[in-house]
Amino acid sequence: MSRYLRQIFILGTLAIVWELLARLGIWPQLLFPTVTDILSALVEELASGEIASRTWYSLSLIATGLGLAIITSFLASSLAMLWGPWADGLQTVMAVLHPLPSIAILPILLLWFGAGAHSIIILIAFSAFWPLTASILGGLCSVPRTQIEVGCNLGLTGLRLVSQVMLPAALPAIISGLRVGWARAWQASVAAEMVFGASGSEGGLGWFLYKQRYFLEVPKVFAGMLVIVFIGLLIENILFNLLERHTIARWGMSIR
Amino acid sequence: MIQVEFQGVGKTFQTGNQEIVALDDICLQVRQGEFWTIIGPSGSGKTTLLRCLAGFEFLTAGKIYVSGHQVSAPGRDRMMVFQDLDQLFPWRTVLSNVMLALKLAQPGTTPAERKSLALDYLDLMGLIEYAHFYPYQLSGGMKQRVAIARALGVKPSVLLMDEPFGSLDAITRSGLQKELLRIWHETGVTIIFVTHNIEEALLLADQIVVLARGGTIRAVVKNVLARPRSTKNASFTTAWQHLHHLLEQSGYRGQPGTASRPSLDPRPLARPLGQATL
Ligand SMILES: Nc1ncnc2c1ncn2[C@@H]1O[C@H](COP(=O)(O)OP(=O)(O)OP(=O)(O)O)[C@@H](O)[C@H]1O
Ligand SMILES: [Mg+2]
Repeated sequence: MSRYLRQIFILGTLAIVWELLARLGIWPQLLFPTVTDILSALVEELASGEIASRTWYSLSLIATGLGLAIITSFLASSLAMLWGPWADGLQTVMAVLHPLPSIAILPILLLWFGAGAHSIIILIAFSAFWPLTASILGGLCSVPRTQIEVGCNLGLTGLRLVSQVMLPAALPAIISGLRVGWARAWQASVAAEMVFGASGSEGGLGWFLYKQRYFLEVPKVFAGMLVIVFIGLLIENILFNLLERHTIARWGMSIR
Repeated sequence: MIQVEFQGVGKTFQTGNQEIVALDDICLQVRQGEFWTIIGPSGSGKTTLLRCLAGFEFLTAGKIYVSGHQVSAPGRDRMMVFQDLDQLFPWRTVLSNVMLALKLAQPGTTPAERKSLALDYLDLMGLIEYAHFYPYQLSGGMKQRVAIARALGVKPSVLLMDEPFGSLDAITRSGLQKELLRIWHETGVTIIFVTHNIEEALLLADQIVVLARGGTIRAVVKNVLARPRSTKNASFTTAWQHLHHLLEQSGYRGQPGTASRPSLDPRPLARPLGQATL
């Protein structure tokens, strides 16, 4: 508990320093708004429902894209355990595409799928797929040999061996892959919507930031960023920590 | 009836440009229901012998038959209890580890039947209070006992045990030796049991294989001591000394050992060691 108190204390101090800097008037208030301005902009946008619907839109794209990435990644990694040539191919393609900043494929996606939700979903899936697959494959390859052999001895083969023994044993790596995948997906969705600019009437948080910048509503830009940070922390600290507590921590598998 | 037969079995490991002969020309015939122990210095190939029989290794020479069928892959008729302590599935409770084995071995049973059967096996190993523990909450010896319960649940025809009691204290160890003998009498399962301990080998086995450095059989000693056995009588001491003497000749403490031979060996090499278990 004292850890949370300390964190709140640090954040509070930062907010006060920010407020003082803004009030000193070194920079124009238009570009460097006070904390109070930012918070009142946040309240205003929350009240109007704008931020909520933008957030909902972003999260629905992410859920689709990340879901796609998770399913394909599990299929691809499991298949790699069953069929050597596929594993080699996957490793090679991953070595080439994993280092590529995912936003770099956006121009191609725009040409192929047009400026719309499809392109963003595919970009999100692409950004999350590679780190997720790298983690899952790494986890699957470091499953203790004895456990695999026990599985074989009990008569498990092929896909059943993968699903009953290898995937559960790789869960610590899988969860850390999901964390990275989520972060990448979140980044990709915000980045993509900013590149899209003004296309379409619908848009998520990235589009919200972009629009408010256009109207020079700087407190609202900051308010949007606060929401992005808040959701990131929420998923990280609540969802993933809960997932860990109910699985690998409970099984004594978290420390490797 | 001959249940397990080794015919000139050899196993050579290739590490880098070096060849390690782990087993060399092993010939054995184990009858159904017999209790065999394998004893020998560290590195003499005891684990490798069990792994070959379990179907986890390619042989580089010879053949192994179990119940008349040539061993080519792992199977539930030969359950192995490993030397390592991480053989339980950490994401399953003790009970659930045993129940998984039962489910795979007897797919027709209901979960309730499997649960009561699993509890019986845990009771047999004195672990009933730990049924809902996760493996990380158990001591090393308890983990080993769960592994034995899980292997027994499959009702194998041959039970392979690699120093299963090695990490236990003397009292628990002798209690489990008695339990194992009781289970062996009740089930009629054939047991092949690796140990470092001469006393343990003598208390348990019908036949004792003494392996020597280089993976050769130094001797196969028939154990004629009457059951139930005790370490206290004179014939036990004589047998102990005999085995001790054999072991000393098998390459302990840096002695060359009768089996050590030049490492140049013209026999054909193993197929590459891929991820063969999948
Ligand atoms: N996977 C492997 N690759 C290379 N060499 C191996 C492998 N497994 C075993 N060996 C070698 O085979 C020989 C026999 O090993 P094994 O594990 O069977 O000995 P052991 O009799 O069980 O010894 P211990 O009593 O210490 O358990 C050793 O020289 C070992 O180095
Ligand atoms: Mg060994």
